[in-house]
Order: sequence, then C-alpha cells, then structure tokens
Amino acid sequence: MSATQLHFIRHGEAYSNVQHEGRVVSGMRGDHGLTPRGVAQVERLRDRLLATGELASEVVLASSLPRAWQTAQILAPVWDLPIVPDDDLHELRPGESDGLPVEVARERYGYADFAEWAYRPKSPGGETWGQFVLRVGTMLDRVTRDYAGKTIVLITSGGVIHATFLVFFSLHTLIPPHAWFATENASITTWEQRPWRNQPSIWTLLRYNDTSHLHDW
Amino acid sequence: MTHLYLIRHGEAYSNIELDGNGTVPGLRGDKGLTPRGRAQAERLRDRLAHTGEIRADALLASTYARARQTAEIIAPALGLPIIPDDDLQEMRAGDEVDGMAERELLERYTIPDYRQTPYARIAPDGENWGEFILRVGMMLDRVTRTYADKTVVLVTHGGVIDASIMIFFQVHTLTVPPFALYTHNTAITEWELERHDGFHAHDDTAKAGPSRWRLVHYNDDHHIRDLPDHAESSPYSAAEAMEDGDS
Repeated sequence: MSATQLHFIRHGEAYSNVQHEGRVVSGMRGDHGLTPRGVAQVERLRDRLLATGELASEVVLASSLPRAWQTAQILAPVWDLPIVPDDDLHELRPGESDGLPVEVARERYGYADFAEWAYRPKSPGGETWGQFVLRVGTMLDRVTRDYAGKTIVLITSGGVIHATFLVFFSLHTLIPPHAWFATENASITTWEQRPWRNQPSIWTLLRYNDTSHLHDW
Repeated sequence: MTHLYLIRHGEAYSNIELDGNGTVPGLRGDKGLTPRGRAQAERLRDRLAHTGEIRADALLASTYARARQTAEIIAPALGLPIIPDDDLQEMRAGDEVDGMAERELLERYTIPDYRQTPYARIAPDGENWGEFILRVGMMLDRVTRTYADKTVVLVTHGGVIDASIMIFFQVHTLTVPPFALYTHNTAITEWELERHDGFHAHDDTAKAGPSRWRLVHYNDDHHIRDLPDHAESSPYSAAEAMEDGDS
C-alpha cells in the first residue's frame, strides 16, 4: 500500500484572530471570516501551490467554519477538485457563548483555561478539551480509512492541527500537552502514514508550520 | 524568550553509503559531507545571510565531522564562532566500533531493533535508546540555562532533533515512540521558551506559571526544495538510522 499523506492548512488571518472592538466568540455563529490580510495570506499560499505544484492532492476537505471555508474557496483553483465540507474539522466548539462579545462571554462563563479546567467546556453545550481531541482523533481515523493511500488536503483551524500531534504522538488526550505550538495563518503541516518494516501504520511528521510563502511578510 | 534553532547537518557520506558500504560514522569514522551536502549548507548560509531571520547569540555544533563542517559553512552568515559540544553528537554506536566498516560491523555485532529492544546497544560502550535521549535532555537543559533569554543555533543530527520533540512534548523516553520524524538535511527546527512570569491579560492578575516550550517550525527546508533528491538520503529516526548505520 502506498503512503497516505495529510496536509493540514490553517485558515488565513480571521477577525477572531485579531484584537478589535466588538470581537466575538467565533464558532459557527460568530465567525466573521477572514480579514483582508488573511485573504492576502491565502492568496500567497495559492500562488505558491500553483507555481510549484507541490500539493498534488486527490481529496480536499474543509471545515465548514466560515474562516476555513473562505480559505478553501480562495485555494480551490489549485486543485480543480470539489471541496468536501467536513464539520469534524471545526475548531473546538465554544458552546452557547458562540457569537457573544468576548468580554461578555468571559463575564458570564469565566475564562476557559484548559490547563486548569480540562474537563469543563468554554460555555454550556461546548466541547471539553478531551471531547475535542477525541473528535479530531475519530476524524483522522475516518479520513485515513476512507482515503487510504491518497494525498489529502484538510483546511481547518489551529486547534485541530495541534490535536493531530496528541493523536499521532500518542500523548495524553484529556489534558493539554506540556509543550505548545505556534501554528501560523495559511501554514502547512504534513503527516504521512507509510507501512515501514514491521510497522503497518507509522505516522511520520514531515513538516510543521511551513510558511515559506510568507517569509517576507 | 529563549530560542533554539536545531539544524541538521547536510547530506553526509554516511547518508548515502548504504547496504553495508559505509563505516560507522562516529567521532572517528565520520567522513563528512558529500558535495551535495556542502551545496545544501551553502544554500542555508545564503538564506540566513539574505533574510537575517536568525539573530543568534551563540552557535553550537556537534563534534562529528558532518555537523562540524555544516557549522563551518553557515557560521559566516551568523557572524559567530563555533562552540563544539560533544552532547550534540548523534546516538553513539560505541567507541570500539566507531570507524569500523559496516560489513564488518554487521558480521560481528547484532544491530538491535530498538523498537523491540530499546535497552540493547550495538557495542558495550555504545548508548542505548534511553541513555541517548537522557543525554540530549540534559544538554537541552544545560543550553537553556546557559543561554537564558538568548537565541542559540545548534548544528546537530536527526536523532537529536527527534529527541528534542520527545523531551519537550513529554513522550515516554525509554522506548522508541510509536511515530517517526523525517528531518531533512540542513532543515531548521525552531523552539521557543515562553515564560509565564507575570501577567494574564484576561483577568489582570499576576500569576506566575511554569515556562512552556513552543514548537515554532519543524523541518523547514525551503532553501533546498529545488535541489534534486534531497529527501532520499534522510533516515526516519535515530533508531532506524542506527539500524542502517546511517544518520
């Protein structure tokens, strides 16, 4: 069996990533999509991928969260493939605070610090850290089986990319990891599953946070 | 903030002399960089000189020839002297086999499958898996304390870079982990130590917490992506490289 490659692309800069007046909790309801800068970042990535042809993908999946979906639409010309929406690629789901101004949400529900309160959601109806990582792990298993041996692009959020490390490194998945990440907007992270020696399914990290198209940003 | 940039050496003869044709590439047996390995290191030097992206305070290098030569090539771009550091060496096969022809090694010694027998070693004075990771962990602790709040470039080996990930993410270090890494020649891996020594913006309270390492980049090799075949010679991990006598 040939290798299965997962290329994770984080969305471009979103309104939820920048400090501004009226910033809201950005789940499905509150996500206001990409900033002009975010659009430009993704256009850079699109132009890079078109120029190099380096991501010869056979499947493109995208989170249906507006900031990821908008990123996928900008990147679409790279592959000439239908983009498959996948709700399991969503960022950690905040719960009923979705769409509230961040200050109001903090006042009402407190500050969600998973390092301290791993088993509590950000607000009622939201995911805990463990539920989120389990959802991502289940998604990875499904995608890897559905598209075994293929090259797959997944357009998603930072938290999902971080969760891939917990899953593939076999780290504790109910509490946040000891070390953390610095995943930038419009970056690429690549994992490969290749049968090797007696190991049927070793996952190999090939690159993390590749932003060479933004180096002179 | 403390920044560590771990750079793997350029392509070495030990990366391409396979199937028993090489020699055990330790302090004595390392035959250094191939012409392509030199070209890769020159690309990295030119990239660093052009972008100025690493403003380093210190340049440390493994004392193995392939890493030392890589450091010599990139040093002008950083404008720093090279500080040799034995703890940056690749997993050690043992002094008694260092420099031995691999054919002879394979005849006279058992090369352990570290995934099955992590406590085994090639030669009696070589390292086993746990000893290697522990040595790297102690090196990282020492370097981090010696160069607190500084930016340090470490020119080293694939196994040491793998080990940094296991150590900072707290992966079990006495057995070979159930994943692999594939660090390319002259690729950059960046870590930053984020200090929680103060202030949490969300509630305006001063609350000292532990420091936390952040992985910023892994396997950044864009300076050599248009060189042919650069990935071919890279081993999967220290353990597998040791099995192949190739890292």
